[in-house]
Amino acid sequence: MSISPRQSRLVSRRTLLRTGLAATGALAAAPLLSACGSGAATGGGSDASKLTLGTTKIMQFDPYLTNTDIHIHAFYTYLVDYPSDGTYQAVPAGAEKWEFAADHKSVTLTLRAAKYHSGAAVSAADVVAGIKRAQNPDAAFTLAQPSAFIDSATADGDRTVRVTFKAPTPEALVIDWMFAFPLIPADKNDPKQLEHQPAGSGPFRLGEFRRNQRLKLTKNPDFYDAAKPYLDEVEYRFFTDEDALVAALESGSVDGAAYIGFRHSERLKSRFTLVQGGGRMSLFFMNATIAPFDNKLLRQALARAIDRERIIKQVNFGIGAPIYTAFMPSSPAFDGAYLDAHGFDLDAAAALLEKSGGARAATAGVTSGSPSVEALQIIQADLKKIGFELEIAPQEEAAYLEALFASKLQCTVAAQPNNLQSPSLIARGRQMLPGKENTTFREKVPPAYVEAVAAAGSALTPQDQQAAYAELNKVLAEESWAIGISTQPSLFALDKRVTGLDTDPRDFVTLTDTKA
Amino acid sequence: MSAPRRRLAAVRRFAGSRSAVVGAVGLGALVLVAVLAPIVAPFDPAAQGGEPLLGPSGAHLLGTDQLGRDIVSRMIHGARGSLIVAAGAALVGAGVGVPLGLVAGYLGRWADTIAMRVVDLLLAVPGILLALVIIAVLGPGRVNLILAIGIGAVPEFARLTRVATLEVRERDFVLAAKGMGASTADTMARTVLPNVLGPIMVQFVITASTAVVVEAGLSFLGLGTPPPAPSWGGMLQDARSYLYQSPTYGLFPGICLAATVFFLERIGRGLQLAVGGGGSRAGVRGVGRGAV
Repeated sequence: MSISPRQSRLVSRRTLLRTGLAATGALAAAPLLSACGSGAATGGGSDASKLTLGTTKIMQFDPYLTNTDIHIHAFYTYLVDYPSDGTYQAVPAGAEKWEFAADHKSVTLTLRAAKYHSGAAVSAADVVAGIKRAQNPDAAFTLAQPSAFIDSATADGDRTVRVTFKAPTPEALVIDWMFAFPLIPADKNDPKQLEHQPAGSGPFRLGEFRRNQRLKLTKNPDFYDAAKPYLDEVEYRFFTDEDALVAALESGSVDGAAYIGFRHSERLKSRFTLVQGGGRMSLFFMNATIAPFDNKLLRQALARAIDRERIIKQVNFGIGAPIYTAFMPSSPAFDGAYLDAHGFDLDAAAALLEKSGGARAATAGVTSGSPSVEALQIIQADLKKIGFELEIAPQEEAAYLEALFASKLQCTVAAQPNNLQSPSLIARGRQMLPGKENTTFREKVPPAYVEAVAAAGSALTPQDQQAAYAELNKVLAEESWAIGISTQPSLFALDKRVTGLDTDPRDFVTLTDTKA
Repeated sequence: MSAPRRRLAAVRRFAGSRSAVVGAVGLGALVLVAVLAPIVAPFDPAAQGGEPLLGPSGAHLLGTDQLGRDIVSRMIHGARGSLIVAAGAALVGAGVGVPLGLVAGYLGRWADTIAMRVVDLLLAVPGILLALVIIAVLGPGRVNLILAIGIGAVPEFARLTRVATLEVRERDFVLAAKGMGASTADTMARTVLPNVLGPIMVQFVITASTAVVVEAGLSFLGLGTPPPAPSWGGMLQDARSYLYQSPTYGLFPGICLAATVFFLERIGRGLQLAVGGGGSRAGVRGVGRGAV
């Protein structure tokens, strides 16, 4: 059949139309089909036993030198664990039992029969070597203060260690140390080796690490709890920008976003499971080594001008609880009465300010762009009402930290961890140390504070402990250099299919019970 | 054509450009609002009395921010800050760059070599990076912002002035001034400078427009004017955290920023037309950052 040129043109148009529609349909269907399939196969590793978490934190692998890294607990077994319910009931982990001497001057640990990721057996000699390293603040700043009560350690056989104390020590402090003490083979317990290669016996092994890109953990088949972990693989992906991380969560590229800002909570709460970890505390620090805060009455005055409720509501988006004396509500030394007796009261603040006779102006250093800037603006506005001019000087983070640690800032709002059981461990942060290393007092650390910390770390009976904690709170309120504002829980947003992700009291993520 | 006539013709050309007039009127209105900020702003921009994150309403025309401060009042006072920094930075850039370019262009030889190598050195560092370094060293604050942005603008002014001076210095009226015994400084200041002012004015406006953006950028990074002083860039940064709760919060400072840059750009274009039609033929193109 012959086709006229006109028909030919019509056919050609139809063909073109069909082809165009088919192509358009294919283009539209491809992403849809891909999206349908990605729920199980790709797009964030939602496989039955794989979890992908996004984080903005930079990592290293030495548990003696970190307070904040998200992944540490996955690689190491600690002597004991604390449950995630906020209580301090020690659960056997690396140590299957422990026995205190009647005079509270030693503890005998019996290690669980377990293997490191390398296949070597966990031994008592590893604990002894680890304690030696922990007692050197330069090689182990995270563990130095919790280990300060230890005099010596000796191995008794392959799996028994006797740890001797310098003086009778309360069990709470010893258990805190056991909770913070990781098991590492003696021959690998070195900062240079651990910086790049973890060497633990924890639930996960190092699969792959590409700095600033991703970290893959694979299940440790030799983990002491044979049934766990539930996940075969965990992947951490790094994001330099928090908004990009949250966008990745919303798009399904990751199953969870770790340590995100409170500002995202409102947007994410209906579609994701929000998990709050123990986190840290936000405190208002006043530097007693330089004017005007070398004036104790002035410090006390400013301590009364902090509107915690408003800061929690407007800066923390309602997340967190008010605190006063640098103890978390879970701490045995937390005393809520201080929030009433020494809480926000501008009239009291004005009277104390008048009585102090001190200067009426100061400058607060702060990391630019951090939520602390807003907290300081609230404090600034309230102080202005009582005639005190607080200038806020935002700085780049590195410059801020350098000035903070060099005691050059007059005052600031900063976060501190203080979430272990023994109140004496309040003296871990640089602003809280009981010696000349204290960045807010240097050589002039109040003797009453040093004594109170020592008493809290040596009180053995419940009555003595209550008295010691009360005295410690009293000194903290009297000296008023570290004024609690609120707790700062860590915030995780997880796909609703992810369950069992918790943080321990130090805010490390525990993935042993996690399912995805 | 005599100088007054040339100037009049330039003004006519500027007034004949509709977009330039729109720019001038818009910028004039902004300047007026900024100058009268304490009178026209309905609230103290730092007062935190209100309910936070309110949407636009009768009480607060554009709503309130996260600390309960009136957004309109903060935007009006923010205009003041932005315009002061823009004008200040352009003045610093011109104040240093123009004499440098004038000396380099008029004296030539070693003076030219030294001045241009200094300029090359400044040009080697990106403007925003230079501003960040200066702020990191001097600390945040309005004066430091002006210095940081102004120093970054020096090369443009210096190169532009040098090019214009090279063209003018061989003209008859300059040679005549020299022949009549005028000193070198006098010739540069009274004879050469007035004849190269056209392109410098255009560059001044362009620099001011750039300064508005850089100031907002630095404030967005938290390195601008310290709180509680309002700035448009700082408001945008704050609003980013509350997009979900208050979607309109960031809209208004963003519009203000865009409008100011638009007005300044229009004025710059108008001036370019006005100057290009008469006066010096040394344009502003090709002498700025990135030119070979």
